[in-house]
Amino acid sequence: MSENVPSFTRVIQAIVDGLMAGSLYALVAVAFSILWASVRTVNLGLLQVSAMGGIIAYSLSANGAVVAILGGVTAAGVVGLLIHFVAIKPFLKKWALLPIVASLGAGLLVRGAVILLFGEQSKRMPQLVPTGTWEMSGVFIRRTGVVVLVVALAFVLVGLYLTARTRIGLAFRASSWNADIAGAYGVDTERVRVGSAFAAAVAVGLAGVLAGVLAGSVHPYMGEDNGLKGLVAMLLGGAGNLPGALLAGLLVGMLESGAGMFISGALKNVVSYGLLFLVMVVKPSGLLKER
Amino acid sequence: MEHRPLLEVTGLSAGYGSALALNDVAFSVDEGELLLIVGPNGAGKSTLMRVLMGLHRQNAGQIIFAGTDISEMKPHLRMRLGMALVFEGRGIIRELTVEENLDLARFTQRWNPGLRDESFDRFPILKRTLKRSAGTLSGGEQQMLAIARALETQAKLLLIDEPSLGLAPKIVSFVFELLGELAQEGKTILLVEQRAAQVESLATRAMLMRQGRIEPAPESLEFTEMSFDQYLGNE
Repeated sequence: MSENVPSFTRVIQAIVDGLMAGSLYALVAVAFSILWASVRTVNLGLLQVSAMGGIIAYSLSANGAVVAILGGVTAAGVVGLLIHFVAIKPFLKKWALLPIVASLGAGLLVRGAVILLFGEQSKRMPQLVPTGTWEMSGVFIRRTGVVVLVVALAFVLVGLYLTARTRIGLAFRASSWNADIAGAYGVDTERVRVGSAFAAAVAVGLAGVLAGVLAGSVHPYMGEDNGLKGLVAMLLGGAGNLPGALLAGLLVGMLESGAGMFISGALKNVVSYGLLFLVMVVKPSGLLKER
Repeated sequence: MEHRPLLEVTGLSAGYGSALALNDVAFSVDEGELLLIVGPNGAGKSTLMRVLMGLHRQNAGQIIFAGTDISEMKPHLRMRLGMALVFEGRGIIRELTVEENLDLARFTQRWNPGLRDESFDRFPILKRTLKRSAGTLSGGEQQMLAIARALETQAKLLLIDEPSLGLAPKIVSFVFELLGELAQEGKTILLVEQRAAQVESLATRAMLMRQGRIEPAPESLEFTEMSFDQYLGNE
């Protein structure tokens, strides 16, 4: 049988691999969506913040997985917040492109600092989580991938629960739908925006750490791939729509994986950006509803 | 004892770019009164409400509320201090459920579960539609939701902006009856409304607003010779 014929086992393998990569896209997509919903802009600096999170985790890995992961995520949160105050907030009420361009510039500064401190070369990520592979009916499942999937999905699902079921979540949703009404009814909308900026930076930081764990290496340019795919997933899911971001992230991951397995590895990127192009033409508000 | 108004506005100016929407506005609202501000479209009435709530920046002037200068205060702090705005066009968040819209009132420290029961007693329809998206309610039901939410904050001062806007005449009558009830209960209300004829009897005092200015107004509504609508050319 030809290798290109999709057997059931290979389809399942593509889905499993796709879910693992897709969970990282989903994490980044949710981060961009949180920001879009509350701040109404795109912080392109988060791409570099994500890479920085992975590299900080690498640098702390001698202290154990918990310290490494928490360190990477916390550093990402703090730097992401800094970018919000320096490059986003001052420009929000001016030209819409200004915060996007300013955040891109701030991100490049972050990358410069990371290169100065840690060098430009790729570094092998120590094993922070269990490695090895399970084999089930011909489908190979990487333990690392399962951990990445579980951690990323848990983070996203907890985030979705918080926004849907708690007082903080109500403040976030009310602010995102109508900041004037939310403010007039006691919601500190500025605090919501700052909290969202921090949560988004933490999410991309975690994505950077997990991407390093999954790939087994970190480097200063690693934020672009997951970051841009996450941005694609955010738009596909409907900007600002958190469940949409989660679903679109997983969908992009699985489509890429399927394209890589059944067509050509070179087509992986074409699939996600092609899908984005198609959806933007047919349904510009995204697969679910933009908000 | 010295008499102090609940709300005291002096020299208030605000605008949009170079256009002045409020020009040296001054007035006060005493505790327990219903002050009616009438004026034609574009007079600056809604801008005044937004400035009072802190949603639109003032260029000059001072707003004293409950003895505190709130001129620079953010909206959420004004709300926590005891102001609540019923927005022009209702101002409910259509994408949230009725319950979630009401729950916004819980961001004040004064909220308690008994207030929700009072809302249901006053507006039984809200209890039946609690889990529905607020955007699916009729215009009248949305107005009830907006007023219920404001009442649940236990505000010292209710700012009510054009409550009759876009509502059927029957619903308008219901809303005005409700405002009358609230006034009788001793609520302090600043009401902005174009349909002056239907509400002038509810008001303790009234003022006229035109081109961003408050015009001299009678001390009470005992001026039967000319109704506000006639004055404004509505009739």
